Amino acid sequence: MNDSLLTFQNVSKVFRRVGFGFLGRSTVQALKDVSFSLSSEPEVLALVGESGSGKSTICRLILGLEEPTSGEILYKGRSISDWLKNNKKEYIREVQIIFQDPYEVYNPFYRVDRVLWMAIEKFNIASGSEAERLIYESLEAVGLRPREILGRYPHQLSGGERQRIMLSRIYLIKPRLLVADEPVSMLDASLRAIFLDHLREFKKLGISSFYITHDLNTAYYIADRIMIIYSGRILERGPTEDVIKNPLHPYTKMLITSIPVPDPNKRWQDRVVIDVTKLQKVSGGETADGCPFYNRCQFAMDKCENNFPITKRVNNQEVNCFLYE
Amino acid sequence: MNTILEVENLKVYFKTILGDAKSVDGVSLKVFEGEILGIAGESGCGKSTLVEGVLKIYKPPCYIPEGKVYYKGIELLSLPEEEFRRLRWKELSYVPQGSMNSLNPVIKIEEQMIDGIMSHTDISYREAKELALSALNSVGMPPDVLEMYPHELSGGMRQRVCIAMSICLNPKIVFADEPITGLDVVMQKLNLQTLGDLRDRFGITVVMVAHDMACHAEICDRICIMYAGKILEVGSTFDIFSDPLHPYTKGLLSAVPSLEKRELKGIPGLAPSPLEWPSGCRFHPRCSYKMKICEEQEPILKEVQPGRSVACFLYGGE
Repeated sequence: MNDSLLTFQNVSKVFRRVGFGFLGRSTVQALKDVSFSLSSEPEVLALVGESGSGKSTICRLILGLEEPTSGEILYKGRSISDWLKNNKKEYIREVQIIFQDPYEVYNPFYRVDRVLWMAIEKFNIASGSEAERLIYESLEAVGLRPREILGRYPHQLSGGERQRIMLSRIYLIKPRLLVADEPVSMLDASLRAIFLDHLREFKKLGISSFYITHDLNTAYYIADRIMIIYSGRILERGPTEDVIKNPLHPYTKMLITSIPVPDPNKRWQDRVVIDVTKLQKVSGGETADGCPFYNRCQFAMDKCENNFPITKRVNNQEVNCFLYE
Repeated sequence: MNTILEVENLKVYFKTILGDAKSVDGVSLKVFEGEILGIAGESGCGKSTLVEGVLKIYKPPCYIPEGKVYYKGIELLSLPEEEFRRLRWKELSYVPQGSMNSLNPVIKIEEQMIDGIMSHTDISYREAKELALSALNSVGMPPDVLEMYPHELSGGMRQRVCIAMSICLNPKIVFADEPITGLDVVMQKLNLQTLGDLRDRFGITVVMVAHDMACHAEICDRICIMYAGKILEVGSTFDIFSDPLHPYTKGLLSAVPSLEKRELKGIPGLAPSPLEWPSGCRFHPRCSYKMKICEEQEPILKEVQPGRSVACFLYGGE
């Protein structure tokens, strides 16, 4: 266990909502007892979940922007709070992020070169002409023409270009772990594939990626392993091919059958039936100990309501569902 | 098949300090009665602007320098605003982009639906409520939704309220702009199927704008592929997917991720700017089949097979 790159051990995160007096004070359990690890070999691990499932909380925990309420997060065997206290610079150098929105990460007053120069200065990567050479090399590595990019302001570049500059920054810093939080959801289809291919390339450079997405399709394309998260719980995980071709958890099955296939000969044959009595938005405030999918699961049993199943290993996958007890 | 709506050489421009942004630059298309027509393309290709132009719901600095839109023999764009307003909702209705966020958060759904109905018809509040109820019923929503505030519903359900609102007055055509973007996959499926129902059960013609090719494959009868303010290819869904003709369509389809195949190919290069479209064929800087003529001359959209048009010199037409 200790030779893994990143380990989550029974991590829970509870957010407190502030209210007035007794009224409205409540808690939201964003993550519940989440455990997983990234291997020390470079790999792409995808975390797939719908909005509100806790994906971004995991991202913020890895970056040290939040502290877990309970449980431990270890990077190379040491807890993240320890890293940030004693070796903050080293940790930041090794763990980098690409955010979802390529429009918001730039300061509109500065030329885009600045994000690359800042990286070089902060981490003492190189100096003078060597630094310039590295910047050129990193931009070319992600398929941008340095002459057309350098010296421009963020608003003069398209979303795809901006997101690729973020990639070139990663190429420059060469971190050990890249956390990519929905990096392609705001890019056009024709650019997505190119962007995702770069994440694959990074693996060859020894960079592991933690790819957070709501889109099972793109996860299938690049990930080595997939984890499915729902309402703060990881319900299923395993090698990508196994999870997609042979999903075990009813939730994973439902996800896969709901995704439209880009082929008119394979249209849906079934219809979604929504229980209209459960129309109201699930607030996410429940702290029940049961399976979070209980309300929507067609195989729900009595015990699912108040107990959460332990992790079961089935073939190559791990699943948390009483169907496999 | 009867043509219900015909767009002729429509141009929709935006005035900017750098000149006109030609978002929609000469689009001609026909919508047949009772079909589901998909308008596909990437962001910035003008697909939403096209719909806004057809419905004349744009605001300055947007304007229409030329073009005609015929609906049942009436030219819409030259109609006085007051007359056009009477057609909207009753005949041509619209589900805006991001419509789950277009409801007023402090007003009950009932009032919002009825307000829309009463401002387009002269019926009483009670009759309007009945119309609202039956519209909700047709999209599979219970009547108690009327008593709710938008925040009590999930995004997908709010979107369905908007679909219900769009069919309250039994329109002939519903324009749905990115109807499933930003929803969870199960909600996407449900809402796509609801849109399909509008045609199957009520005979409403649906024009769906979406960037996701998989949704087009799921419900559309025909697809228009837009790029850089122009239509590059039109054809039946089956033809487009099984045998894409235009190089851009080919590229777009191979860039669609799917659980069926684990390969993807992007289109190199970047989308052009509407301030300055490339000369000749607008796709030529990114096209791998580029010929000399493509840089100089603009290919016109012409029929190559029955019901199948493409604007590309690979299929003749110098």
